[in-house]
Amino acid sequence: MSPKNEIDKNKTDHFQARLKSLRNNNFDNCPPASHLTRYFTDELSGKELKSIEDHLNFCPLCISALESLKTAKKTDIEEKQILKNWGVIEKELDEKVYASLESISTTAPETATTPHWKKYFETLRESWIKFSNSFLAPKVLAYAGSVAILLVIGLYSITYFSRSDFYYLAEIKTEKQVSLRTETVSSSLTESLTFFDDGNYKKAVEKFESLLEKSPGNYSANYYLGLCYLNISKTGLPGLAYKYDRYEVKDGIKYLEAALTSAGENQFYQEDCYWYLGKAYLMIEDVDKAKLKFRKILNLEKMNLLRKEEARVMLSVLN
Amino acid sequence: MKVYQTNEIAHNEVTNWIEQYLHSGDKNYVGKIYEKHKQQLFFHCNKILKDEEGAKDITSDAFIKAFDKIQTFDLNKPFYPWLAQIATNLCIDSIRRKKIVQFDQIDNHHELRNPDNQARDIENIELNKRIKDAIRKLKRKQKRCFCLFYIHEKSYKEIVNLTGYSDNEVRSFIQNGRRKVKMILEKEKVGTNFLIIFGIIILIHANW
Repeated sequence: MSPKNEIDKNKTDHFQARLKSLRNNNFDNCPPASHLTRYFTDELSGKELKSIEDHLNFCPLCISALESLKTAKKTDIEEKQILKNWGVIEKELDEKVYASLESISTTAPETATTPHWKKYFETLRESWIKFSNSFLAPKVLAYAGSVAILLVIGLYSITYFSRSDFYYLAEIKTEKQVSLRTETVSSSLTESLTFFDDGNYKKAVEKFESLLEKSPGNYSANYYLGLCYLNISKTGLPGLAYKYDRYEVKDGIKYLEAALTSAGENQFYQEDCYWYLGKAYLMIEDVDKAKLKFRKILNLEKMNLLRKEEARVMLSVLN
Repeated sequence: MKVYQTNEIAHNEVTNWIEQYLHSGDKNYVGKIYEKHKQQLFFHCNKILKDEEGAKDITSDAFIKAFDKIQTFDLNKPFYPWLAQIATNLCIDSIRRKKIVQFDQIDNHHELRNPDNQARDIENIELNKRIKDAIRKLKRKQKRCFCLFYIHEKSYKEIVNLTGYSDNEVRSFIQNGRRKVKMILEKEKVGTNFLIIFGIIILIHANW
């Protein structure tokens, strides 16, 4: 095996030295010998064949084993010479084999029965190890990772660009119950208000609706139902509410208008209703109607109204 | 292989012995099987290893291993091919182990000469991985000849013997393979830079 051929000298030494260092020098990476013999007799196919060929490209150990198998097929060693010494060889062989024959057990080894789920996990583990050892693994993982990242970026950018222009203006700060405004709070209302405070709006909607059936025209029930619907309408990825559901916002508007009519002359009530109606119209991007509602707050006559200043700011921003 | 072919009468005789051994546990039957096949198996191992001492060890090991797991042997099949298969597997293992010892000696010698070799190793691992990937992109025949020539340092004659391709084919496979590997390595540099820039552009767009 002399590597020094005529043509070798022409090649650049640097590149060759690099390539030499690619050799596999670890017996642990090698496939079992039975795979090699099956490769040699052309019994392998598919993935097994591919993986063993890839291994053979870099493993001088397995290549040398294959070489000796191949030469064994071709050359005939002089059996006569061996037969002359056969007596000596036979003696040694007999000693070794007969000595160890006594230790061989005659009973079949007990096969330990492992439960099904354990076997399943073992096969899973083995397949994972096989996958991570295969040369495809880094490629597959890289592609999967980049696709996942692209998907996430795409989803966020879609939601980002498709949200309404008035997203920040229309945002409702979920206030705790404004019960200080309602003078007399019935016991059934307090029960449903606890749901509202906890942020469990869907439950709260049920409670308020049953309340409305009993006493239609109840200001608080209408008002809180409207707020519930506005809160529910927020949809989007967790932590980032990017969209408002139109139908639910329209439901909210309906109930808030009903609250307005039941508010009567009470300007505190009217102010709250106008404020949230304005916000609701911003949610469905109906700016003109929103402006109208905010202007109505400014037109109210009472002096110590809470939202007048906020409404003025909102109008200046919208204009 | 040639040695796999055995006549039917012998096959029936041996399977009878095995059946009786499994039935009664009498080790005389095992002895009979051993006496019948020992010479044949020794020649088989000697052919592969070309070393009488090693062949002796492996024939005895193969017999012991075979008798140890004779419960797993399929009685409908001939016995000797099964035995020979075990022996060849053991031969392959011993050849690989011998080679490891040889390489270890060379490597140690090399390290003594160049003390700064180890520091360079870390850089080399990265590069080696890239070269390996480049080689893997070659066509099957090209890859085989390229690796045999450069990595295993076989001569043209040895490659022709091993692969069965003609002399001219081997020459062209090696030269084309070498050209292609270099090309792939140069292309890769451009490719990675392009990908990084593209990623940055996407990120900027998404944040704006």
